[in-house]
Amino acid sequence: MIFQTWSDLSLQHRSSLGLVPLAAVLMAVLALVMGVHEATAFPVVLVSMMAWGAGLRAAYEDDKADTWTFLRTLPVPPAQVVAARYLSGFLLTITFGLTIALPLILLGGGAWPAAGVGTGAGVALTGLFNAVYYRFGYRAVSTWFRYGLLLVALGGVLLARLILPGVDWPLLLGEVGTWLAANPALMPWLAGAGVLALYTTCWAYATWAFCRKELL
Amino acid sequence: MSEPLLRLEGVTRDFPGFRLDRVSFTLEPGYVMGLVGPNGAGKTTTIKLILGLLRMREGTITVFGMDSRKDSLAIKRQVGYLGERVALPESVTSRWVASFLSRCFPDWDDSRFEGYLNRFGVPRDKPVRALSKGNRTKLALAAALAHRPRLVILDEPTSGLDPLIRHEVIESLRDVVAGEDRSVLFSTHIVSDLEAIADFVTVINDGRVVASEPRDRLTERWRRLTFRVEDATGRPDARLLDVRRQGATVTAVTGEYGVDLLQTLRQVATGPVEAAAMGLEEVFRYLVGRNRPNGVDDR
Repeated sequence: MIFQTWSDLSLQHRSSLGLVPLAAVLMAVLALVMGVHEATAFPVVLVSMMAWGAGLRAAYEDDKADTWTFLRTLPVPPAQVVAARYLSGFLLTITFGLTIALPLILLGGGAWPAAGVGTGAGVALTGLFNAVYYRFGYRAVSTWFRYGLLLVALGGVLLARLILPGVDWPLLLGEVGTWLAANPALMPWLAGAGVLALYTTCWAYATWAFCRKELL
Repeated sequence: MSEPLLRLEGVTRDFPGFRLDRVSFTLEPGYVMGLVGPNGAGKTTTIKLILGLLRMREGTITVFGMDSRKDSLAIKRQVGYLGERVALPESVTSRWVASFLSRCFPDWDDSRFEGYLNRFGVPRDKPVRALSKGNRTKLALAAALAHRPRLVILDEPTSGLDPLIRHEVIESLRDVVAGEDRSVLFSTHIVSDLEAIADFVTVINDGRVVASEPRDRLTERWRRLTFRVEDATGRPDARLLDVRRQGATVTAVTGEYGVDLLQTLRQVATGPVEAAAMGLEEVFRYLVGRNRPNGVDDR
């Protein structure tokens, strides 16, 4: 299992791992240009985008090399195939979160809450993405998530601007992080538990779907 | 004969517009079976059902005496598979393949894998994407054989290769199956590939098995006959197909050549009955109905 997770990270997520230093540099530039406090709104967006991109890239690599057929003809339980992807996706998203938080921490910002929210969002997105991927395949997941995310993002922004035109959203997201930091006893744990519950539920669903999947 | 290594009984599966219909055949240990049929006949579906990549609606598949649905992992430990599309990540080298597969197969043998790579002349350190299609196929073949599988399943391994490389791959295959106690199920629509290696032939057409028997027996019972008759009208025997007449000379094909047919024909023929052997490819064309206006009667 450890080797399979490592294989998944080093093969299917290789190009996404290459983006990690780039994201750290981008975060540092944003913090320097906008100020550390303002920049704390960005980890949520960045980590989510990177997690989505990494999932999509891995699914694309799978599809191109017909990896599902390769793995399903080996004496490897399908549940283990899914587990390797979920573990590698989790590790990758945590890495994204930590790497993006690092420039903010080094520049003196209270980046942990923002990084926590960003990582949580990334983990949740990874879980959902992989559940759809193992149930419906690469073509479906690439289309649904591409247009679905775009729709949600655009719709969300438009809706937010219509309902609350005067709100400074980057600041608000930073405030959410700060608020979470102010309630360390309960909220982060609840949020973390919620994200993990969602992730494991998606994992279980993906396992169920992949074990029953026919490879036409 | 010993217990069949692979047995399919009444295997049925429906798709929109296609039905794999009660497919049955057996493969004995130590033999090479060619699973041959036109494109879309059901060869890959049959193989996917054996490997558990698809579920059957009816029927049973037993491999090494085990139920393919219940003992899938135990079966796969002893099966080597090579598909039409070489399913290996493009960025990996042969070393990665060995490293990965050695963790999947308890009986993986690195020296054996290296031996095959040497024999096939596959470069070691080039990633899969840098290998030619022929070398990719050979790498995948080496990977499919290195854990000493009791059953090797090859699904159109030569499809898409140019004739020269195809010949090389077939030669490599012949090398590795000769003299070793393993069984091979080799699916192809290129019948000439089978001439070199197959002991048994199963012909599948439109989702149905139309012949499954030793290759020699198949080519023995299919003959092109030539004889002369006095009465040039009518069909000399119902077992004759593709009957053509030129004056008093009749040429026909039969899939039921034997003493009984010869005796019958000698009664109507005015001279000797000549029986010429047919190539496997020609037999195949008759079996799938391509050379016969009346189609094939399923056996």
